[in-house]
Amino acid sequence: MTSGTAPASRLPALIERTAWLNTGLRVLLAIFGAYGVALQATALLSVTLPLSRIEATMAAIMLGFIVQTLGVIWVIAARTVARAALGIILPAVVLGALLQCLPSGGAA
Amino acid sequence: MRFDQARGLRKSMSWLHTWAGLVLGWLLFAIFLTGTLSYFRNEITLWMQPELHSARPDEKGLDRALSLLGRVAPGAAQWQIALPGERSPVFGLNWREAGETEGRGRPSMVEDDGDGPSSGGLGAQPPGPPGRRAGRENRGADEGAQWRRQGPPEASSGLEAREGRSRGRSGGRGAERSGEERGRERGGRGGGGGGEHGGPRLSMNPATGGMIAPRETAGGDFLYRFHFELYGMDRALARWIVGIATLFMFVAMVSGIIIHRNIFKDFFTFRPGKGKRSWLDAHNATSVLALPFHLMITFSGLLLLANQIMPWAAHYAYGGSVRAMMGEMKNMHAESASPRSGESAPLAALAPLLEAARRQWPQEGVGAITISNPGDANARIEFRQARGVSLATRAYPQSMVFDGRNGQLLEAPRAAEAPGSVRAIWSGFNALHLGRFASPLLRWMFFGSGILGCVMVASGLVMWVIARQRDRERAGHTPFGHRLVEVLNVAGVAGLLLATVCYFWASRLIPADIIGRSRLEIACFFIVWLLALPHAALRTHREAWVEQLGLAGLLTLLLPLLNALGGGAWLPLSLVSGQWQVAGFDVAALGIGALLILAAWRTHTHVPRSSTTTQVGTAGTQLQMEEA
Repeated sequence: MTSGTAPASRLPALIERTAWLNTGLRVLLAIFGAYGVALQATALLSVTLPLSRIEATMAAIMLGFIVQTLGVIWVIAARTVARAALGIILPAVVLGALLQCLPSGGAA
Repeated sequence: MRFDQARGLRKSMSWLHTWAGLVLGWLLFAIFLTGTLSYFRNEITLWMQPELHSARPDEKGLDRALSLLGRVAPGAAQWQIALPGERSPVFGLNWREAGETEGRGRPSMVEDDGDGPSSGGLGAQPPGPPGRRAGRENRGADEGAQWRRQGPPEASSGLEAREGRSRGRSGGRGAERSGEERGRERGGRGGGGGGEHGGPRLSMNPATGGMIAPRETAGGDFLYRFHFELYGMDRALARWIVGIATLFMFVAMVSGIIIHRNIFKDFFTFRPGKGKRSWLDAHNATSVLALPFHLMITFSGLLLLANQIMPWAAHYAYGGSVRAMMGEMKNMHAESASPRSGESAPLAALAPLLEAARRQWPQEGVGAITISNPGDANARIEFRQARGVSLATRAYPQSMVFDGRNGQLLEAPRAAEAPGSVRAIWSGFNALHLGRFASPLLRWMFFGSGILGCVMVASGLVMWVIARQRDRERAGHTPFGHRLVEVLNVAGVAGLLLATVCYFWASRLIPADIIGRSRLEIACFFIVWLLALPHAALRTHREAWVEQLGLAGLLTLLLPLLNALGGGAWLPLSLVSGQWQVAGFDVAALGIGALLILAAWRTHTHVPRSSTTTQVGTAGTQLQMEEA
């Protein structure tokens, strides 16, 4: 996906090829990205799950840790850094948008 | 492995497993070890207070406890009696004076807790969150500090102040049903008095009715607290650190499972004496053997810290009030205390009521008795179950309330509300983590699984070094990073074992009447641990392992002797008289000490097989795994 010759694609290619950048970015994505997505997921699930409030909160927290773990695995396993980042950023944007749409979302 | 080259999933996961496990591995070992010991926290405290070893059960104990309370606290608004049981040999007595309101209703996910709002009358405000868990609320920490300042005057260290707080809270009216920690505090402690002389909590020998003033000790509570709050740092920060370590652990475990194609085959595979392969087998065996336990303990550890590390759910669902969520989670009922009538009346005989309560809970038993307005016509006698009925409701012990004058049943035990399935799962995880189950056998099995977990972490750490043997040979020297891991492995694993056993030694060698002994005990623990580091750095890798493991083993093996000479019930006596709590400690010390010595010996005599095997024999730990 970074094989293009346009100048814009050189940086991603550089990142993919530079070992320490590749690893470093993945580590950052795994630690902070996966955690952020998990937080968003818990927030969304806690107000949308069709359970009583306390149960929804508990379920959201439990699922949140699963989401985080899956996020970390995705970031490390993805073929390229770009795919790893996409797997974090896309859910983050979608979840963020959904949270904004929630009536109670603004409370945060 | 390089991320810029093609690689399979297993390779990626192997990388993840290696580094997620290594980075905080030493902290994880410490959490696992101290957490495992915490399953016998009461027993450890009891062992460290030999004054209590002379207590014997007695039929008349309850009458003696009542008359003792009548003497020392005749005008109290409330008496509380923690009955001796399988985890404590003494009566724990405390009371609350009239007009005294205490901070209470502080629910928590973790069973102890101590900080939290120090104000708050009964039912006057919604139950608050324990401050220390409300990591995002600085207020929590402030309140904690305030409590610390207001703590009982006799409390001489932060740890004891916390003890005092929980004690104070136990001393409070048993208003809320959260009971999570209360059940334990009241039902299970007693032996775990810890460092309070002449305070509101007394230990009474059931056989004589005399008060026992046990020596001040940090006891098993120090180890227990260390495993989630570390020591000497802000509690919220410490919980973050422990929470992050737990997250790493969880990721390491899940990635480890993915790496394992042959999970069942490995279960039966052990090839000793084959260097790296043996280590891998040992690591796999200990991991897989107790895998359900490891997953449960790690995941439930996350849940117990969830308010801190995963706060958004409560934040969104409860409009920013973690406090509200905690209250609902705990299912708290606020009750109003019955007022004193002013008319005096003798207390109904307790024995038949206790009998009735025991008939009600034949399995669980009675943990504690609370008598409100003793000596008044409006007295109330409340019996509390030692522990909850089922795993899912274990955190909420039932209670029975009787009229204190005529012994009429006023309040039958509420049928446990069937919790929703999610809640049942959540509570089940917590109950398992906190060891809230009846059977001593299960407790020992969890202890054993915890030991397996320690070996799993330790063998994983050792494997990191061993797996890089070829790199070192190729490089012709030991790179700094490898040496660093070697040194940290010795100090983090063997050094911590040594520090723990020295902590037990210190508890007996420091004079019993010295002020602030518990702090000295803790200082001994950390000084020994700290000294293990330069020792590991100055000696060769093998020497360091052998010496630290050997010394730890020797000292552990001698603990029963120290117990006998230090005024405790020595092993034959405790076995004969059925003091299983004390005997269990000594027997476990003999077993673990022998294993550590064996480990040191195997390391000492280990001959590397070939250049691809390890030159640093730590085969002893491997031996422990064989035992397992």
